[in-house]
Amino acid sequence: MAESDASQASRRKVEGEAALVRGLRSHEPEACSEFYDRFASRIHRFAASLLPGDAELAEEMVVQTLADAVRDVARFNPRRSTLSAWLYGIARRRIQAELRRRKRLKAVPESAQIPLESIAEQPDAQDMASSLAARLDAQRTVAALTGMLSTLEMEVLTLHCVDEMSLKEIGQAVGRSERAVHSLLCRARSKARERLAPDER
Amino acid sequence: MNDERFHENIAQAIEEATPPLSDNVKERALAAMTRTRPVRWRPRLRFAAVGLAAVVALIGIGFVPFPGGKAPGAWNRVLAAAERMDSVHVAAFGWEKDKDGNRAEYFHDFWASKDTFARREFWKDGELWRLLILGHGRSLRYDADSRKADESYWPPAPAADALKQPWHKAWEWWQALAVGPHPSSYDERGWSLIERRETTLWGGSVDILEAELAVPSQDSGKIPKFKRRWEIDPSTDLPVSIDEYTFEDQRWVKTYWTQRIEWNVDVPESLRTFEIPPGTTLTRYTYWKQNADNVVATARNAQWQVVLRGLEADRYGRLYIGYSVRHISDGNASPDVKTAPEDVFAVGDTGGTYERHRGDESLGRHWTTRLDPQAAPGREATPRTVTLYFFPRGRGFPDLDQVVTLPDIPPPPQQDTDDVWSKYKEVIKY
Repeated sequence: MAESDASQASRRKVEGEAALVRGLRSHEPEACSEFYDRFASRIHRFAASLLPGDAELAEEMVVQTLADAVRDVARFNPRRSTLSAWLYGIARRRIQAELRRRKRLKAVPESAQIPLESIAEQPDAQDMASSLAARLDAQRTVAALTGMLSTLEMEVLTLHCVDEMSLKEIGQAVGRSERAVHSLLCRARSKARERLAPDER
Repeated sequence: MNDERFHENIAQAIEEATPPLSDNVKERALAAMTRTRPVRWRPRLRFAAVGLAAVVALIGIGFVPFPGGKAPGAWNRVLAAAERMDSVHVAAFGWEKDKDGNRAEYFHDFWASKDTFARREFWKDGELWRLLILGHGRSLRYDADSRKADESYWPPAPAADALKQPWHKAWEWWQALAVGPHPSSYDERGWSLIERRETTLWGGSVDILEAELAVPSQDSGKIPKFKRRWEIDPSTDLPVSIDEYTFEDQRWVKTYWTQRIEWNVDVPESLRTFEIPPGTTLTRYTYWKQNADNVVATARNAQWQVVLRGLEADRYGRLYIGYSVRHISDGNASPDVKTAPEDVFAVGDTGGTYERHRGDESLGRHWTTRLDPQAAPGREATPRTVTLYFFPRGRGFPDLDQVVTLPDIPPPPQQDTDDVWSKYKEVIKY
């Protein structure tokens, strides 16, 4: 019975994606809006993890990725990959192009830091300062990971940990086999552990 | 920390590090998506296009020629193949420097057929520039620059003579299609001939003949001067293109190139005539039209046969002779003579001689010459013999095989004219 429910849910998901793709191909505004709502934040996280601290650029990657997807939606083939894997593939190509252009970012850029003066002007300055401090810590962690891992390893790690994508889906997104993705993931995990949890060795 | 926990930590770090999307991002994204129109993607068409481009590239590479070794005997095969043809038409372009040193391009249209007819036309700026018509015992030349034309007659060669020598017609082709001497005399005249073959991946091949003239330089080397290049179709042994080059500023410059060569074409009858343009001065020479069949005297030795066709004298006693020369080959007279008599003189009854006044005028194997008496005034002699030397006199007494003497020639009638040739010349103003 549970199996049947899962199968029905999977079919509903596929049918929903197909309807969305049809809407995008017809250039329907509602479909574009739904597309944004469904994928923008996920692409943003992905972009932010690979471009740590550069929020403006991460947002720009979201805009460009979605626009590229709408332009090339005719190329999407559901028999080859899921919609999200295909979309991540577009995003990573965009981000890699940007990384090649700007060189790899290994630290939190100054542009990403919020001036202390602006914090004092906020209505709840203390809470905001606390929140920003936590974010900056996280950004440093992500920046450390980005500096330590290869771009491909970071992509695989992000897609697996944050988006909980299967190895197969990740493979579709990064153009690797499941076995290669598994190997990449193990390697990324091993490297990251050395950095994030040295005491557990 | 197990993998699951570790993954949660990573996810948390990434989520915390990701700031919320700005308020205007959705608006920007929707605007970008709306601006972008979906591209109609046709992967099959793309693959077809890529495949087609690859096929075209492969075919193109397949046609690139590369050296395929030597092609010994190619030139002889070309002559033999040309001999089997009945007619040829060549359309070509070339250029030459005008008097101001500027390049002037011309179009060359050439027709020839096995009955010894040939017509050359040169066109410049859409206007007929030069013309030459040969055949049937007549030649007609026209030059638009000088507004002059000349028409000459010569004794037509008996068809049987042409048939005796299988290369005779090929020699006509050679004269028509080539510049420079016959390859048989290349070595002595500073020419070289390369016969090689080029092939392609698709199995196509072409024979290349390159004749090059080099002249000795002061530093004992040789300077290339002129080059002619034929491309020969090995399946027919016939030329498919002819190019000419001159060596200028340390490089070869193409000066002539064929547009097409057609063999066994129908030569239009209209090409055999030419209407002299108004304003042209035509000079017509009729000596051989009137004297071709005369036989005044004949003589021969082991190598040469000479027929005296005309013998006349002007008021000063100068002799005007016309004669035909044939080389004896294997006991038969050849229709072709490529060696001019080195000297011609006559001897009179008192021992005085008549020496050649000026260079012989040749029409193939037929010659005209004026001989002037060398005796002192008052000792004029009546000519009795005419002797032709086919070997330079300066090298000592020539071998008897190289001397032909016409004995007992009849006394020529003395005419009341300063120049006997003038009665065979007409000048017509069109």
